[in-house]
Amino acid sequence: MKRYRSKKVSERISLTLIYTVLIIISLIWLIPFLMLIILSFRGETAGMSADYLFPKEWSFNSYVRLFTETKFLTWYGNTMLVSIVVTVFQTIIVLMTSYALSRLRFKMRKPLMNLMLILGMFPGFLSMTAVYFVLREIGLTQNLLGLILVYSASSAMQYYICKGFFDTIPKSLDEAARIDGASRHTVFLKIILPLAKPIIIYTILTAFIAPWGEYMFSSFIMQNNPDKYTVAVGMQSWLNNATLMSDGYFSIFCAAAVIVSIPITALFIWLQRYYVEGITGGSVKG
Amino acid sequence: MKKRLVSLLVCGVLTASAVAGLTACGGGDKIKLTVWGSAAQQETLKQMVAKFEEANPDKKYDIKIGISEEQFAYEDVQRDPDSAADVFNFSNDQLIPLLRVGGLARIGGTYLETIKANNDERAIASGSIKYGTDDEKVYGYPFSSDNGYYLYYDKSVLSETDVEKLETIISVCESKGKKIGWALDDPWYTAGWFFTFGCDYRVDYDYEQNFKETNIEINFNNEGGILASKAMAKLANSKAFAGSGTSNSTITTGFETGAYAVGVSGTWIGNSIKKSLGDNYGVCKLPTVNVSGEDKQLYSYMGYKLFGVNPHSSNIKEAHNLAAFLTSSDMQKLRFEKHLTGPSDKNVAALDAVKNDPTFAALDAQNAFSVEQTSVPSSFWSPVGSYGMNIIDKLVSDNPTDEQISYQKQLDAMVKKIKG
Repeated sequence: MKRYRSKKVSERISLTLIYTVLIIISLIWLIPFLMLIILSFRGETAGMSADYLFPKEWSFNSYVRLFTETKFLTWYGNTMLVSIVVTVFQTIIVLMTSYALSRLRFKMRKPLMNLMLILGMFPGFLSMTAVYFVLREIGLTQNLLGLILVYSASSAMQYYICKGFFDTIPKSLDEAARIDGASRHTVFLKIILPLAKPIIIYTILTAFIAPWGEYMFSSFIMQNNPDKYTVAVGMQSWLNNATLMSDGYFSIFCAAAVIVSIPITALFIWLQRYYVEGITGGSVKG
Repeated sequence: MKKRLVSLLVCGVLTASAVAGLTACGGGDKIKLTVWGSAAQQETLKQMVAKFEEANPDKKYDIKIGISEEQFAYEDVQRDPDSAADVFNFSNDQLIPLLRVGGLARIGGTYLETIKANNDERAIASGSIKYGTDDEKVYGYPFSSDNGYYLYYDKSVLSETDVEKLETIISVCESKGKKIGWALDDPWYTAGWFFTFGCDYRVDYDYEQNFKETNIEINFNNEGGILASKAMAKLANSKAFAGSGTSNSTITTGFETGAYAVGVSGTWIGNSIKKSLGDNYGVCKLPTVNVSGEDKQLYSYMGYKLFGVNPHSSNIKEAHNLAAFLTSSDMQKLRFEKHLTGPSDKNVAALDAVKNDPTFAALDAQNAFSVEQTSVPSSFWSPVGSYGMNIIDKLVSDNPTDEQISYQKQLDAMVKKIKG
């Protein structure tokens, strides 16, 4: 009895310790986001170097200016359009590639997988100049379609986690269906996909987030055309200008960042449980 | 279900490419131009373009406006000169880099005559190249003479006589607990201290070989350099000095919060400081400094901003027309009224509203004590900035302790780096 009680006490102590550490870590994690939100409500024009955090004057002014003075809505629309289209393309391509690599057996399967893995190790921006000139030749620079093409072109290379998940679905299911006369694509659509909900959601999430915040390719392709900017490129164009930054654009920048983070946060909260399932399920069998 | 999805996708792609195709070849007889301007002046540029279209009612234009900062013109153009804007703005230090990538068209004929008739001579020279016995070749339409810096101050802290001498500024700010924002570690501001004491540089270019730098002469390590270092140390060692990392935004913020009483920068933040200080808005040329027994007027860099025409433009004549219009007297006046952009046009500079404006007066007074930012050695910036940083961090000194390096030794190292 006595022993049992002391175990409970030590358990409590260790739990308290663990939670304290976790709370401290989560605070450190949250501070930048909190700062961003607080700074976006600054009524005065003081920039990023002001040595205080809480606004002297709380105001929605930055949000009002964001939507009335700047092209932010256009940029937001561009980014949304690109992200959604890329998400559709990428999800379909990744699922199809993974299915093929997981279920079909063909001669070049292994070499192809290795090739994609190795290619995937090179950062995409290495090919940036080449991609730009190809796009220019077909007239797709400063064009959202060009950006969509670039983002979805290498989707197939992200088959890895998804294929891992498909491998965990018993093959006997396919075989049973095949015996009953199902074709390959009936198996894919009617058997594999319904079982693969978590990984589909995981693919959608990653596919959406990548173009949402991407800067390098979009700045290179959209160049100096503010009507075609994505949010990342547009917001950077404010930072490049001293006059704007001295005129309250720092707070406007923060307000924009808050608005930009809304869809991603919402998507995450909504799909969170599938996300965890997808990631862990997919890595059971590499 | 599946078929519908596929057909929907195919439709989507087809429509998208059709739209792309249409925009690429639509609008037949319109004159298409693109013009790049600074992000802060997009609205003004839009108005100017509208006025340009109004002024030419017999032609149909389709003019697109893009964003490019003057100081990054080279970066933006060199990426792809073919598809860069037909007309873009650049600061005159970008002239040679832009010429290297073939990004600027030569200006001649009536366009050149108009420029010469209206603009300040130094402004025209800043956008042109002269070598050998050849005629001067002009490449830029000047629109602003304000790429320089001077002193902003809070009149409630410092009087007009206080700001004449650096020594008084420092002592007043120290006693009143105010800060001085002066970017000693930004080479553009550091260099002015050296020019004050007669230091200079010269670059020889091989014009046949795409403006290759063949020889760099620089004497920043002579006794003038030592005096400049002492003068900078005087400011940097004061407790009123705001420290390293001073930038436009720290200065505007400093004035807004009341922490700063003095800031050194240019017209681009003038309106913002005016708003913060209100009636206490003070602006004047840089102060004098005394390190050698006499008061020396501090020098600054100065430069011009110009519009250039892209030689790859498909409609080069109209591009010249637009550039000429954007830099005309009326437009320079408009730019001054909206953004305090100092005009390069003699007639506009002589207008009472401009001449009597304190900000322009300060800029104009400082321009008499300035070095033009042309033909700067390409390796100049980073070593000079680091030297300024060394002074702020007290790593260099006239009488070095064990941890310090003497001015002379560090200056020699700096010059060696610049010469490459």
